[in-house]
Amino acid sequence: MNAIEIDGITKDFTPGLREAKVRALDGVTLRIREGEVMGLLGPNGSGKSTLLKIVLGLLAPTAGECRIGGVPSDRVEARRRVGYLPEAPDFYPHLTGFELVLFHARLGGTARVGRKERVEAVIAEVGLVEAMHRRIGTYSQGMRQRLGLAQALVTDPRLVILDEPTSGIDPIGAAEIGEMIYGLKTQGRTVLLSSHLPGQIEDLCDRVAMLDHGRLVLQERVEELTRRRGQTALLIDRLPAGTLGELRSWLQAHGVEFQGVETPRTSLERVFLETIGSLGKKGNERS
Amino acid sequence: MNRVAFSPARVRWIAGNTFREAVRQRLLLLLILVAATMTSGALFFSDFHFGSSELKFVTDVGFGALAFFGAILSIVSSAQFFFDEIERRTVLTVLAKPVWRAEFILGKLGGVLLLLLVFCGLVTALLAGLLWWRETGLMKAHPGTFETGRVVTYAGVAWCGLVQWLKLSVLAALTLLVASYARSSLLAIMAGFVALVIGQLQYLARDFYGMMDSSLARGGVWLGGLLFPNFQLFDVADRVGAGETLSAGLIGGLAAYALAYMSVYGGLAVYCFRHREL
Amino acid sequence: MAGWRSTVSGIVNSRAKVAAVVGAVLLIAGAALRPVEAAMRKAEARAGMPGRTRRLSAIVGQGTSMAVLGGFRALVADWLWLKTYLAWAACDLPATQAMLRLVTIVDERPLGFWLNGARIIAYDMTEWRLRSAGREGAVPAAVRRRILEEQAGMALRYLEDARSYHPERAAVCVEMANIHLNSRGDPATAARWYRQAAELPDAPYYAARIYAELLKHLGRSREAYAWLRRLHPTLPPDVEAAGSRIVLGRIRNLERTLEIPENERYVAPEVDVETRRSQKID
Repeated sequence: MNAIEIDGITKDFTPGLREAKVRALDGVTLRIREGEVMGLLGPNGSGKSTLLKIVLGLLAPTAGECRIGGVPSDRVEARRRVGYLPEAPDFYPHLTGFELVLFHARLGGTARVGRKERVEAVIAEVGLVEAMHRRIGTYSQGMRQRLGLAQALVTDPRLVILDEPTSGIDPIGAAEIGEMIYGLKTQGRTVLLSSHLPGQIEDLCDRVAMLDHGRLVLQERVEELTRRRGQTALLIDRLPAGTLGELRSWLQAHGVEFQGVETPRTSLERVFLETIGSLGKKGNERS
Repeated sequence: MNRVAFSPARVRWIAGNTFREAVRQRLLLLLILVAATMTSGALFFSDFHFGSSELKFVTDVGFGALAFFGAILSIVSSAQFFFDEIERRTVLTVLAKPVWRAEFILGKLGGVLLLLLVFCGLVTALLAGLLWWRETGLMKAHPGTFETGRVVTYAGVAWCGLVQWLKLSVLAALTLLVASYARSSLLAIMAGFVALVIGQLQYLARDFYGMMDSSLARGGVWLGGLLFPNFQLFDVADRVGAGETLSAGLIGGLAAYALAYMSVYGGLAVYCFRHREL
Repeated sequence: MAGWRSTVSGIVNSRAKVAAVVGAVLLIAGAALRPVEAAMRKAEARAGMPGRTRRLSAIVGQGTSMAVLGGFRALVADWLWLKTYLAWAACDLPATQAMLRLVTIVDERPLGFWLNGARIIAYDMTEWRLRSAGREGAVPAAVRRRILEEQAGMALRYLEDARSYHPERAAVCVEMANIHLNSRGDPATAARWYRQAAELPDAPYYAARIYAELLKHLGRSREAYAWLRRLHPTLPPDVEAAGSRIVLGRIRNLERTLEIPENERYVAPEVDVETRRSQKID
């Protein structure tokens, strides 16, 4: 069964009388299966957030239909088991983290019995136990993002929609959120993740849909997209001096085209994570 | 899939959340302090030895402060608490839950009404306390003037506080209606103040321009008068200050009038918000 | 061009539609609630408003007018009364006179403005004018008489205005009686006003007693006796201010003075308190 069905969604905006109509989405059709992690990739202004809002019933499409679990997305019922984290959320600064998540737990219809325990469990899951009785106005951006995840997950949603979940966060924070998202996948939840960072989509998602100027230009499994067809890479640890020439000759003798030799490289992000992570990331959080 | 019914409980939670946020922002505290200072300052009339007339002055100043600062609180909080949700995008997280847009709007309105009730209640209680204290002093100084007992009707003071709350509640609902349609909080706040002035003076326009020869002007004034409530009806503080009593019929009529307008404005705010793109 | 038209059409169709619905519902609601509003508006208060507003604007300008009409009428009147008090304390006759008139235009409801204003006009302003006319004893009697009459006349006209707003208030009649008695030296007219006061529902007990005393002073003792005989049964014996024993004493004095035969003398009734309170002087 499909968790989300998007059929021919078009959305036009009319900013003002003197400005031309803007087409934010143009005939987007997409299916997202249950249990799948779908990435929505595109540059800024490609229509990702608009599409997510239409899925959530927060915007009405100019044309087309959208259904969540078979229920039209503009119905309140469609959001019964949905968790949503908007881009760069800025929550009520004078509430505590606990109060905010409890508020969302109530709105989401969690059972009264055990509600507070559920809230505490979700807050622990996102790593905010020590800060949960502090006012949100004192939180760092990373803490707010984790709090946003908590309010999205407190109702135990089957579908989780995340809009730029690592926006404005350092690599360590982003990695932690990435781990949480991966955890959602292992729990069998459906995740729709929007990002303008290809690396993030590549790491976390099963499939990717690419938007450009409101059009769906590509949708495919990540594995298929990133595979270099017809090529094989050999990774050799401590190749003895002098054997490279022999190896090349042997391959050429067997009709294999030898492309070249590269020294494998790591990424600066990985070095950062390994270095700073080992120093203890919690001490760097803004108090 | 089972339908999600309209839930008064969700309205209550959103209202409670709005009220808590408002209280912690200290706007309410600031306005109460200012109103209390102004009301207490009226006691300086004792230096003029006006006798029992001093109680009228204290009553008038107290309710004047309530009306003035209450109007500010009503308009600013209605507009600001709505637009805060939009600017912070917290409205998206709320409406991404199974929450009706109507529940959200009515919850915001409920939170503001609760805020206004606390404000009016505290200022009225303070005023009653000051009047009681001052009247006790005057009774000792001028026993002849108080032959028949206390002259201040404290039930009248309480009812007047309630009537002021009704007026401010209608103003809050009207401002929220504008906010649900407008694109900026500044526009909503300005519209709220304009509506207050029009509502306060529209009966006068009717009296003056209703006598004009031009049917177009008369028609325009008549139409304009229909769009806004008559806030002058709620100005009963003068009567209490002058020692008059408020009849049950008057209070009941004002309550019904206010509830009717709040229902209309609240319903229209729900309608506008349902058509608003977030 | 076609794109611009569809843009306008899009905007007009959506937001204009919402605005039109809101406007229509407000008009219908306003029309439906108009009878409720009309029932609560007191016709006599509204009838006087245009005239009052024109006079107000002419005197104080738009700012004060707006505040008065904006629901702060009583507060503005209190503030003006404060200014009146300051002008009075400075013995500034023109300013005090102007402010007294203004205060009652802004808010005619507090009786205190009228009564205190009348006293200031009748007594204090007289004193200021006499002082400016010359040292004590140096003012000719005719000038003194003229000033007293002028100020008393002004005060009485001021109180006539008050009666138009407070026709059932005994305090206004009592004040008029006092001015006739103290400033104009006219006990006969004063007596008429005391009687008028005594016949109003909120009359002070002393008004009826003073009327009787003035009748005696004017040589109309028999009228005074008849009046007191009708008055006494209505006085509650347990209220000291009612002066039931004082009135009985005066009845007895008049009986002696007028040599009323024993069998025609007043018999103080043994009536219960409630019945006495409910009786009225006719």
